[in-house]
Order: sequence, then structure tokens, then C-alpha cells
Amino acid sequence: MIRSQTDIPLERDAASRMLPWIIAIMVYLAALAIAGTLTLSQVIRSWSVAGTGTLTVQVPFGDSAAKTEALAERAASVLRETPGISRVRVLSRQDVAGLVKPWLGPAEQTAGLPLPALIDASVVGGASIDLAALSRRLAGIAPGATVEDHKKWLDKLVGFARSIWLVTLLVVAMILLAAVVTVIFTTRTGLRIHYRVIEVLHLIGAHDRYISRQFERQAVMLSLKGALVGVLLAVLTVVALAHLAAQVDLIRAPRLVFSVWQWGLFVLVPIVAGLVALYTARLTVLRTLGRLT
Amino acid sequence: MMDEDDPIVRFDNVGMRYGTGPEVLRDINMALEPGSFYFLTGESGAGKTSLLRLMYLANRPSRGLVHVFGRDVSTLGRDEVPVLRRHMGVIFQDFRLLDHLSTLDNVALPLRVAGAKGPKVRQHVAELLRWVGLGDHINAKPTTLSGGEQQRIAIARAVINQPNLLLADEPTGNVDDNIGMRLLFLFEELNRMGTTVVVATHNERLVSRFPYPRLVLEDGQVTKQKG
Repeated sequence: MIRSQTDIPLERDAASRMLPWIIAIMVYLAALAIAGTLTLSQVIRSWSVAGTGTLTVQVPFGDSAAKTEALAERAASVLRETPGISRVRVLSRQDVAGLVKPWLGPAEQTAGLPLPALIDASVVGGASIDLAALSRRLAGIAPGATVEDHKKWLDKLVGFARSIWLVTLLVVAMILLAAVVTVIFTTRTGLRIHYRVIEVLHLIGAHDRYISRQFERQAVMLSLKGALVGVLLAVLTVVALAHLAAQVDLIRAPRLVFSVWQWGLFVLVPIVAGLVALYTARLTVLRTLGRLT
Repeated sequence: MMDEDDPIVRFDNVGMRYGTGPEVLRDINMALEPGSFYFLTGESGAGKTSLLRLMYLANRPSRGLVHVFGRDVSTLGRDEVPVLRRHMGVIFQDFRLLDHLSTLDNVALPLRVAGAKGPKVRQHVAELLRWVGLGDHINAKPTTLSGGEQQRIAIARAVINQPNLLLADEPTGNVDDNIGMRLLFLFEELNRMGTTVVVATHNERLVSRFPYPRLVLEDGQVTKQKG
């Protein structure tokens, strides 16, 4: 058989040697950005679910724990009578101690502290509650009681998270653009360096597509090589971060746990990189050669 | 593509200049019949290479009409040019071999470009290389061979696909008369099989041994002379 080597010695070009490394770095950054986007999407979703239709009422500590609990029960009764509220639960002192544990230490240390009572209430979907009026009623029963509408501040937080999510997508798009520009540069350099070889191929009857196929093959091979390295490093980084995140016991800390299809996105990255390289090299060669007379 | 009796190449009032320079070819009118054999002669710088470049479609005329294989060159689309070139064999003065490829791969290029594959290609190429005396250099890179050997690779590459039109620019320039004669016999054989041959040369000794007509280039103009 005739050799499988290409007619144009592209593998010797300095630009070709650099391409896999540049693509590896870009794919690494893109994969990390995708991991960030996925995590952020999960966080937004969980916050949206958790924050929709819940209220928390805080009853300040009275003279004693027993009095505080009694005030909380009275406030809970008011909440139960309020139209639009479906479920009311007074958190036990143990539950409250558990919530402040990361800051104040175990329950034994907080036993003597004047902790407020907390009431968790669910709002029926679509129900509109006059929070100002409710606050006034509760304050009349338990002076200093406050109502926290989770939805209000969570909406702001989710909005902010969505902005970050969009910026991350923009970063991925810019990395993609940078990859395209790199392939264009490498291809154009190859066309310049091998001008005489290309001329010979033309003179013996080669179509532009015959020539572009050689550039395409080279660009795809180099990009795939770089992309595989980049995505592998990114996956290792994500796994390491997930391991670290699991060790940090933070309330509502984002969890780096992906589903099968989300991991599939990482597999898609090298394929996308290969396709981008293929079509970029093809268009660059055909457009450049098309301008020649 | 063309009628049997149509000229393979026809020039009508053709002039050619490079950029804004003076005309290197002017008022050329000629027709090369199918199956003819011509020597293209003229002093160095007379425009032999330029005339050949017009024939193998590397340049377009500045004025006049060039028809190749019955097609008006000025109306050819970019995709049509390679199709016509596959019916031509060109031996360049500077050989234009690809240094990173072996002798075998260089000669096989026109076949590869035309989409031919498989062991028969190798067999065919190896046979031709043996014929031009390069059977022992099949895997050698052109840079390791002498000028004469490189020229024979260029010739083998030009004739491998049995072209309808063979254009040779000083094909005997780097070989002794013996090998030169042998190469011209090869061209003669191709010509007998129907290939139209144009050999640009200033080797009078070789030209005088063959009975073929001449296209003489002088002051950018061509005159036909009987052989």
C-alpha cells in the first residue's frame, strides 16, 4: 500500500506542535466552567425549591425557655389561623441548637443561652399574604417577633446566581471563540509554509477539498489529543474539589455531584473540540485557496 | 468535453504579461492537434515556460483566448481546472518534487489525487520507476538523489496517469544525451498511444534527431516550423 502519511508535511510545523497544548488549556478551562455552570444550576434549582412558599417566624427569648416556647405556640396558633398558610411547625430547642451548632458549638454548650424560638411555615402556592399585617399581629402576641419571607431574599440570590451562570456561559463561548481563532491561525500558517507543496498538488489536479482534507485531519487529530488531556485534567480537578467540598461542613454549600448525563457533557467536550477544529480548518483552507487565482 | 478533431490546445491572439510588466508573449495564434508532437524552442527567456504555464492553466492570458481540451480557459470555474489538469502531465523545469515523500509516493501523487488506491497503484508506479531506471530507489527521498534522478522522478510523475497532453519544460536539462534520448523515446511511445506532447528544450542535438515540428518562440511570438 501507499503510505498513510499526508502529502503536506503539517506535522513538522511549529504551530502544529503548539496546538494540542493550547487546546488542552482551553478545554480544561471550558470543562471547569461547564462544571461551575452545572453546579450553579443545581444550587439555583435547590434554592428555588427550598425558598418557594416558606416563611420563618423568629420569637425572641422571653424570661425563660418555657415562656419562650409558650409565646412561640401562641404565635404558631395565629399563623395556623392565617389564610394561605398550610403547615406550621415550631422548631424544638434541640432543632434550634442544631442550627447554631456550626457557630456556637454542641447543644451542651448552648443549653443555657437565650436562644430564640423558630417557627417554620409553608405558604400555599399562589397565596398572597399581607406580611406587614401578619408581623404586626405576631408582634402584638410576642413582642419583637419577626417574619422572614425566604422568597424575597432568595429571589435576589437566585437572580444573582443566574447572572453568574450567564457569565460562565459567556466564558465558555469566549474559550470556544479563542479555540477557533487558534485553529485559523495554525491553518493559515500551514498554508503559508506549505505554499509550494499546495501549488504542486493543484498543478497535478488536486481540488481544494483534497487539500483541505489534509488540514482537517491534522487539526482534528491535534485538537482531540489536546482536548482529551484537558478534559481528563478537568475531571480530576472536579473530583478533587468534590472531595474537598464533602469534607467542608457548610450550610447550603454547593455539592459537586453530577448525574450521568452531566458527566456525559464532559465526554462531549473533546468531540465538540474536534468538530470545531474540523470545520474551522475546512472553511479556512477553502476560503484562503478560493481567494487565490 | 471536445470533438475528436478539435485542437487539444488553441491560442487566438493571445498576449501575456506578469503584473504590470511588459508582454512576454504577444499575438500568439496556434493550434495543437490531438496526437501531435512538438518541440518548443527558443532562447533562454524567450517565454517557453510562460507559454507552457498558459497551457497547464497556471496563468490566464492578459488578452486573447486560450482553449484547452475544447474549453475556453477564461470561463473555467475553480472546480473545473483540476479536472482538466488530471488529463495533463507536466514536467517542471525545477521538478517540483515533494522532498518529504519517497520516490514512489511522489510518482503516485497524481493517482492519489485522482482517488486511485490499493496495491495495483504501487505495482504500476514501481513498474514505471523501473522503466526510468529508478527501480532501486523506490523508497529514497528526492533530496538523496542526483539531479538527473530527480528529473526522472518528475517525468515518471507526469506520465503515470497516461495524460492526453504532456508538457515538458526542459526535461533533458540535467541528463546526458543517452538518458535524454531514452526519455524522448518514452515521450514518443506515449505520443504513439495518443498523447499530445510538447517538449520545451534548447538541446538542438536531441531535437535534430527527431522528425517532429517545432514551435519557435522569438520576441514573444510563435512560429511553426516543420521538423
